Amino acid sequence: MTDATSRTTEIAGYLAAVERHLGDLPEAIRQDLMSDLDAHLAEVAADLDDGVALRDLLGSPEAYARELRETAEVPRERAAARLRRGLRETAAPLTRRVKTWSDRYAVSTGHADAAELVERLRPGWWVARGVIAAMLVVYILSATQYNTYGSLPFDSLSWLLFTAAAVLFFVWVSLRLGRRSQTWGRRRRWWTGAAGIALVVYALYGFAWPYALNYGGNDFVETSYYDETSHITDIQVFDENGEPIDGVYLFDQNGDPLMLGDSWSCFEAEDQYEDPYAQDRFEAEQESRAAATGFPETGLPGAEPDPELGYLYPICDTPAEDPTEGPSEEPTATEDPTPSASEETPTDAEPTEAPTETAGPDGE
Amino acid sequence: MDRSQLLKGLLDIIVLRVLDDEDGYGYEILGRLRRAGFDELGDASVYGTLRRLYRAGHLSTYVLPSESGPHRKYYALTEPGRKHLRHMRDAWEDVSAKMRHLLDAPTKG
Repeated sequence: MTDATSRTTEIAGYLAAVERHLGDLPEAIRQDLMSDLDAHLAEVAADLDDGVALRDLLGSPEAYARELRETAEVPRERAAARLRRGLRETAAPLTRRVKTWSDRYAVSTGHADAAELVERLRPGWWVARGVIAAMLVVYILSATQYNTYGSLPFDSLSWLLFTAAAVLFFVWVSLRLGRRSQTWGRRRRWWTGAAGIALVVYALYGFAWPYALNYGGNDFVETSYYDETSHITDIQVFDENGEPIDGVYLFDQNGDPLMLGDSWSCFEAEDQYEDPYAQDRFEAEQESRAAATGFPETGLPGAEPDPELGYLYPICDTPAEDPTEGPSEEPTATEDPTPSASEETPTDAEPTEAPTETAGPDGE
Repeated sequence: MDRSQLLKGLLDIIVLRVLDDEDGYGYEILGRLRRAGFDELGDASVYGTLRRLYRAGHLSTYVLPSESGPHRKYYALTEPGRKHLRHMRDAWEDVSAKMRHLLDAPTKG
């Protein structure tokens, strides 16, 4: 009796060990192998002589599992394959549903199923792919030529002709590629499809977002411009007693002047649309700089900014009644803000905050 | 390549052929194979092959009580199994004839 129970424990232990070594097999196959293995091992054990262990006859559970695996015709799955299978099994309900929907959709359009619809749509996709590729090429060429992006140069005849030629050529290439790819293997077709999707995504990125952000088709943004102002819009300098200090020049680690705030609104606040870099203006500043070496005598609010030394604090003529208002928060008098300036100039500032000497567009 | 590797590809035909004579249960089938000279085949190989052939529909099973222990699961050839055996046998005859021809060809020099 004790012999029989010890046999049962032996079989159970052996089974558990074998199952452990089959852990990576697909569930169905492992279950099938394991479901009958206990009965089989019991059969084997029944024919064993007393004192002979299961191991002696069958070898180690690990070797047994390896042999079983080899004959069950399931090679050990690699980690990547196992992960893929797991994902596929997880996504199975979703893919089934998508397939049902797409089939229903295709049937409602008068096709047999989604696969047939896709088959019919394929040449259309080839043409679209060629057009998109041509547009991208034209777009990139014009962008590098004119340093602009967000628009296609359809306003000139030569570009229009070039675009037409590019479209014809790329559609031809795409159609040819499509025809060829029909005979390709699965892997190459997969790569072709992935490249097509990447093309569409890139085109969406290139074409759609300037419009989506309301850049407009005709506006252009310089692809590179020197941002002469930092993102800091104001600096307040105080001495140790908490008294504000005026008439300070600020320099960065390279000895370059710190450009703060919105230069355009500053100048215009003082001088009503005067070009800050106009010749006479420059000369006037030369004079004031000559006087200001060491101790700038223009320590008054609204001191002349020196284009080479940066801004003298306070940066702009701060409204006396509201000293906390930063200069950049003044309403701008700019009629035609450049894109760079418009990014930093809040145009929604209240006109009531405008200092009297700062004429807004409506104040003139 | 050792013999056991060579035999792996022949497990189907070996097991089917043995069961074509008479139905058998797992461990007993292994005994028949041993007696036929296939000493290197292990129990796991035979059991795994039986399960695989059963899954493929080439074998059916039935259970008989034994006088000396637990019930025994007997395996029997099905009609597809017999057909599979014929195909495998033809393939083996073809391959072995060609192998013999190849190996028996006089070597140069």
